[in-house]
Amino acid sequence: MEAQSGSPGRFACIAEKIAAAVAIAGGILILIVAGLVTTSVVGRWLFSKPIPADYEFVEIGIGVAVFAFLPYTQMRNGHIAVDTFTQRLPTRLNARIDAVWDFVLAAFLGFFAWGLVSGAQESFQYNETMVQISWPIWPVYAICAGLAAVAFLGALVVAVLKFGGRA
Amino acid sequence: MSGVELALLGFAAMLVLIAIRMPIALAMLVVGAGGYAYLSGWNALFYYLQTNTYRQFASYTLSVIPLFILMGALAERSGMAATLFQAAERRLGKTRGGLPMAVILACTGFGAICGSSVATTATFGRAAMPELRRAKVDLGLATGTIAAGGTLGILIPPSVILVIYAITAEQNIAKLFQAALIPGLLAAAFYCIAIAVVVRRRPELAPPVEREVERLPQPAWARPAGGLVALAAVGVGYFGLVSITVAVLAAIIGLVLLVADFALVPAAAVAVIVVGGIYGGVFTPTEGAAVGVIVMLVFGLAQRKLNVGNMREALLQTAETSGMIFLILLGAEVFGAFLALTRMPSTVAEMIGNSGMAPYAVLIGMLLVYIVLGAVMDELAMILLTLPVFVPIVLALDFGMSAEDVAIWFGILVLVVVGIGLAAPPIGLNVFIINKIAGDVPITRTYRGVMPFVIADVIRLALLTALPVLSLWLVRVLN
Repeated sequence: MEAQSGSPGRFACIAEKIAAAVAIAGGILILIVAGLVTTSVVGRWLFSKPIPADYEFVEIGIGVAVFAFLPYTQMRNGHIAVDTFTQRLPTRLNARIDAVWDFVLAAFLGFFAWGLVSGAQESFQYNETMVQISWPIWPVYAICAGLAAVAFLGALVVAVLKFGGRA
Repeated sequence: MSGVELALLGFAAMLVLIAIRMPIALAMLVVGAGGYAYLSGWNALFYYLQTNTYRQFASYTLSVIPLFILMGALAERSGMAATLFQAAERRLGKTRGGLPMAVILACTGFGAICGSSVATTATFGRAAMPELRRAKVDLGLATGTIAAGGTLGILIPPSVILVIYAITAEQNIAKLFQAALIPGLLAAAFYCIAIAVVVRRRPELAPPVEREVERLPQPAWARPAGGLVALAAVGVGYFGLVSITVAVLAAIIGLVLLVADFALVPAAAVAVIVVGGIYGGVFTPTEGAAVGVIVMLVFGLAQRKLNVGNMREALLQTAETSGMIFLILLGAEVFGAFLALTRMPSTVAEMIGNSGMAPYAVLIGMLLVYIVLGAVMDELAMILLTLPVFVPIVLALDFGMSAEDVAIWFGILVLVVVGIGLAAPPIGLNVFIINKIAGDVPITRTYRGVMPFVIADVIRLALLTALPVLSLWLVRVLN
C-alpha cells in the first residue's frame, strides 16, 4: 500500500491530477460533440444538409465522456450523501464509514469495468456494428471499460486514504 | 412476501443506508441490485448490469444534461450575470428595496441562459453580493434574495431538473420548457412582491443606492439598429420569407437593442436562440443545448471573458456535476427496474385510483411528502426516487384533463417543490452556497432572510395547483 508508505498528501494529489486530466479529456469530447451538433444544425438550416448519423456520434461521445467524468467525481467526493444524522459522530468514525462506502462503490465500478470488457469481447465475436454507421462498436466498449477501471482504482485509492484517516 | 411489501422493504433499507452516509446513488444501486437479484436471480442481474452502464450513459435524451451543465458553467464565467445585474440596478437601484429586486430581475434573465440553480446562486453570490454590501442592504435579506433568486435558474427554462423530470416521466422536454415559462415569471414577480412587503415594513433593510451606477457602453447606432432589425423581422415574417419562429426570435433581439442595453444582446441572443429555438421546434433540446454551448463560447471568447484557465474550471465543474448526476440516474434506473419487477407502482396506482379518494387530496398529499422530504434530502435524488411511484398514481387520477396535460402540470408542481427544498430550512442547498460565498453571515440570518421568499413560494405553489391553466396555456398556444 503506497498510501501508507509514501507521502499520502502527494499521492492523493497525483491521483487527483490524473482524474482531472481524464475529466478534461471528457469535457473536450463534450465540446467536440457540441460543435458537431451545431455544425449539423447550421448545415440542415442553410443547406438542408445535416451531418449524417450525428445522432449516433452524440450518444457515443456523451457516453464515453460520462465514463471519463466518474473518476474525477469520485476524487472530489462529488457523490451526494446525507450527513444530517451522523453529524454528532466523531470525525474519524465518519471517515471510516465513508471509506466503507467507497469500497462498495469501487466494487460496483470494478464490476461495471468487467461487464464492459466481456461486452466488448462478445461484440467483437459477433461483429456488432453501430446502428447507422458500419463501424464496429467494440472499441467504444473497450474505452469505457478502461475508464471504468480508472474510476475503480480511484475509488480504491480514496477508500484506502480515508480509512487511514489521510483524506 | 408480496411485491408491494418487498418494494416498501427496499425503500426502508435504502433510507437507512442513506441515513448512515451512503452516497444516494450507491444506496439506490445496492438496494436495486439486491432486490433485482432476489426476484430474478444473480445470473439475470449480471446479464442486466453487464453493459447497462454504457447503454444508460450513451443516450441521446440524456446527452442534453451535460450540455446544459457546460452551458451554465460557461455562462457563469461569461460576465453576463454582472451585465444583467448592472442593467437592472441602473433602472431600479434608486428606489427603496430596488437593489434586491434588481438581483431578482437579473436572476430571471440569467435563468434563461442557465439551467442550474447551483450555478445561478454561485454566480450572483459573486456578481451581486459585493454591491449589496456596499449599499448596506441587510445581510440576511441580501443572502436570502440570492438564495431565492438562484432557484430561478431552474424555474425559468432551460432547466436541468425539468429535463430529468421529463426523462423519468417519459414526457416531452420542449413542452415542459414551454409550460415552465409563465410559472417561472410568476416566481420572479412573487419574489419582487415579497421584497416590497418586507421593505415596506422595515425600510432600513434595503436603503436605496446612493452612488451613480455606471452606464453600460451604448453605441449610438444600437437603438436605430434595434428598431430596424425588429421592423425587418416583422416584415420578412409577414411576407413569409422566413419561418414565423425565426422572425419572432429576431424581433425579440431587435427589441432588446431598441429598449434595453446594447450590452444585454449576448445574453438575450443565447436565451432567444436556445429557449426560442426549442419552443419553436427549430431544433431538439439536445441540439438547443449544443448550440447554446457554442454560442456562449463564441461570445465569451469574443469578449475576452473566457480563457484557458477558466474554461478548464468550467470543464472540471461540468465533469464533477455530470458524474454525480449520471451515477444517480444509473442508480435510479437499477432501483426502478427492481420496483417494476415488484409491480408496486402500478398496484399502488390502481389501488389509489379505485379507492375513490379525491384526486386533489392525493395530489396535495404528494406535494406535502415532497416538502417534508425536500427538507432533509437532496432534491434530485428525491424526485428520482419518488417519480417511478408518483407519476403512475397521478396519471391514474381523474383531473378532467388528458394524461399528457396532467403529467406536464405535475412536472411544474414538482419543479416548484424542488425550488422550495433548495431555498428552505433546515437543509437548503442554495442557502449553503450563498452562505459560503458571503463568508461572514450567520446561517440563521440567511434562513430568516429567505423566509419571505419561501412564503411567496408556498402561495405560488397553491396558485399553480389550483389553476393548471397557468402551466398549460402556453403549451396549448404554441402547439
